[in-house]
Amino acid sequence: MVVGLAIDKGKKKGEIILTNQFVNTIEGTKEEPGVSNYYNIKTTGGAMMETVKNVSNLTDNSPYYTHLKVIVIGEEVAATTNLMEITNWFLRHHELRRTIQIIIAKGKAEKILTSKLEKRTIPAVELWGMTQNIRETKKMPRFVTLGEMGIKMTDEMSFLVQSVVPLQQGLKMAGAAVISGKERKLIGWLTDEEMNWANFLVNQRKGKEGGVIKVLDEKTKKPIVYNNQNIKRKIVVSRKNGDLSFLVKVYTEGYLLEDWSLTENSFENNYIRTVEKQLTAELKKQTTSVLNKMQKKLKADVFGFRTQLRIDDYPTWKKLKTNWDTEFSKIPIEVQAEVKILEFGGKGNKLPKR
Amino acid sequence: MELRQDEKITTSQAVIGIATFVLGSEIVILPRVASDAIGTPDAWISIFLGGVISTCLGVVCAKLSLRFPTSNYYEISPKLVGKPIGFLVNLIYIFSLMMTGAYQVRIQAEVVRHYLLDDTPIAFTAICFLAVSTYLVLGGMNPMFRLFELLFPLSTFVFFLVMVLCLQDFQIENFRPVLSEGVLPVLLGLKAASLPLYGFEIILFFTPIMNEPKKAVKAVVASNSITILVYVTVLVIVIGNLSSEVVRTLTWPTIEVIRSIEIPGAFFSNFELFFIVIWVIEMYTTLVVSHYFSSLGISQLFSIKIKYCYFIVIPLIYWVAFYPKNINGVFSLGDINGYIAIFISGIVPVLLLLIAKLKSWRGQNV
Repeated sequence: MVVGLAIDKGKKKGEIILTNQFVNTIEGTKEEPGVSNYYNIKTTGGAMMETVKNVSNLTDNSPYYTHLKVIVIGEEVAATTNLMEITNWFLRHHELRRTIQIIIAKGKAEKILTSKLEKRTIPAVELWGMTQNIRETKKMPRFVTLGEMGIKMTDEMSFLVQSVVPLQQGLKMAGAAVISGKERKLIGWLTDEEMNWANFLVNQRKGKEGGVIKVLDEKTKKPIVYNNQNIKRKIVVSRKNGDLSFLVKVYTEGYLLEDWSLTENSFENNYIRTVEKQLTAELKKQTTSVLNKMQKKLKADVFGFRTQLRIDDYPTWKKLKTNWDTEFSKIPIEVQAEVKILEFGGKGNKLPKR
Repeated sequence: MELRQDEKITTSQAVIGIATFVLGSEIVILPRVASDAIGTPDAWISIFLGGVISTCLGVVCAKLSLRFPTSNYYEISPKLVGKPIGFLVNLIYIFSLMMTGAYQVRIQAEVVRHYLLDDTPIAFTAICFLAVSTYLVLGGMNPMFRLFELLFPLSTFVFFLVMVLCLQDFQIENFRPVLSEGVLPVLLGLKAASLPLYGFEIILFFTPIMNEPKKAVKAVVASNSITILVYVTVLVIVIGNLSSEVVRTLTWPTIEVIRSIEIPGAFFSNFELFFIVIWVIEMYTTLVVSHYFSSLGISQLFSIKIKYCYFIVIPLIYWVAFYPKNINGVFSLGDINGYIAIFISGIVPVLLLLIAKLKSWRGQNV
């Protein structure tokens, strides 16, 4: 029973190293100290299916992939090989489900599956659990499944994939890997801080809640933390004298859950307004800078501007379709942000009004 | 064919009989075939229009059979166009029925091999399938319709339940903009998209055995509405989940969508099992109908006792089912079957009705 796969590049040209993480199902030994509940088997080969078949030469448990949870792709493979070629076998074989999570590792993917966890759980299962945390934190993109990845690559759509780094002990979800839609290769990274803001620009179908915005209060220089409950993002396509431009409207509502300043008074609407204003300014500033990075540096439309253009202006979309990511980098985009505080928890101010 | 009153079928049995015959293997591949022919996400418009046309043709069939309330398709055509041509038409129809049955057998075997029993030879599942069909057919018409009446609501319910579960990844953007390339692709794709809707001509056999033959037109319209609803649902759900570009690249798009259903937490998955079960039932009923009526045809054409015909048909169906050597051959078998169906259930009944009208206009008593 394989629960995790790691794909790395071999030494020779075109060679793949595949690490299969098996669940150790041998009875009786699991509870004994020193016996691991998983084992890894490494094989090499030129194509995926060939590499997988080589596993049967090394163990009596031929791999069975129906319970596969995660596929970790190494940085080097993702940056040099067309991911559509790598994932082809996964999408064809009936044992693999379309709901497997894809994660891109910084560095070698193998290191992720061999990392020591303090909990002593199976790394692949631990990793799978971490991918689901989009409801808790916005510092990673929503997980991408194998099926979704196939859809995006067929449609030549750029997208974000969760990325992971090994720590001394344990793993860390570290922002996002940017996959270009045309080349279907890894072209860059977003740090987890940038990802926090990029998530406001992505069309969130699931996991609209979670994530925080932190600002330092203008007067007191003390942190104020806003907990997001809902994101609504709308793209408006406009054409003035034949020049295409986009307007992104980001609206978020949530709770004010931490405020260090002693002079706060959340029972006053005026105070809430000033905080909202600061949060809005911060949101606008940060989202614009992320958008700038995606447009100018990475040149990849991961936010779904293309879908809106296709819907609103099909003839233009047809013209720009073939080189969309390059065209996208030239189109001016304006961000409009709005933050709404709905409530502030169980405590509204530090000191009673005098 | 003379039947006692209590052996005749009710109107609802006739409706279910037609719907269950029309709905078959195509559910799993229609999204690919239709999207490929149309090229835009508007396939559902095509199938809807195709459904309207097929309903009209179904009404033609029903009207034709109402002119001959005691004779079935095999008896009508010799009466109208003379023995030799009638014989030929009947032969083609028998072959078309056997092909429909054979196609169900093969597709069923292929899908079961791909998704469920990958080490079982497909011949084995196919023979089991045929054996169960023979068992039911041997019991005659009434057990057949009673079983359909039992299975159809169940399978339709499970089908729609699974489709509702597919809604969690449904994206309406995949359909927008509607009619992006204009109306032309929709019309061009009409032929390919409407192939699975044929099969309503089976009403020509049902009218003589219905206890209220006058309701034949209503029965055709009702059963066609069911099939259109099912096919449009499949198309909308599959394209909404995958986008029309991706649907065109997958072999069994419907099952792939159902395989991606996961109730959060990944505790409940493998919903394709439910779907494949009810879908195999759906194909089984199609096979039973074609098995029974092709045996009936051979029996009436060559004056052989129908008991023997049930068994004569089995090797023929098996041979046709395993004639294609690979999966692409199977798909082209389905295409050929569709074109014969257009001829036999679209064009021939219209011609027959016209001839019947002409004859009665000329004052001949038919």
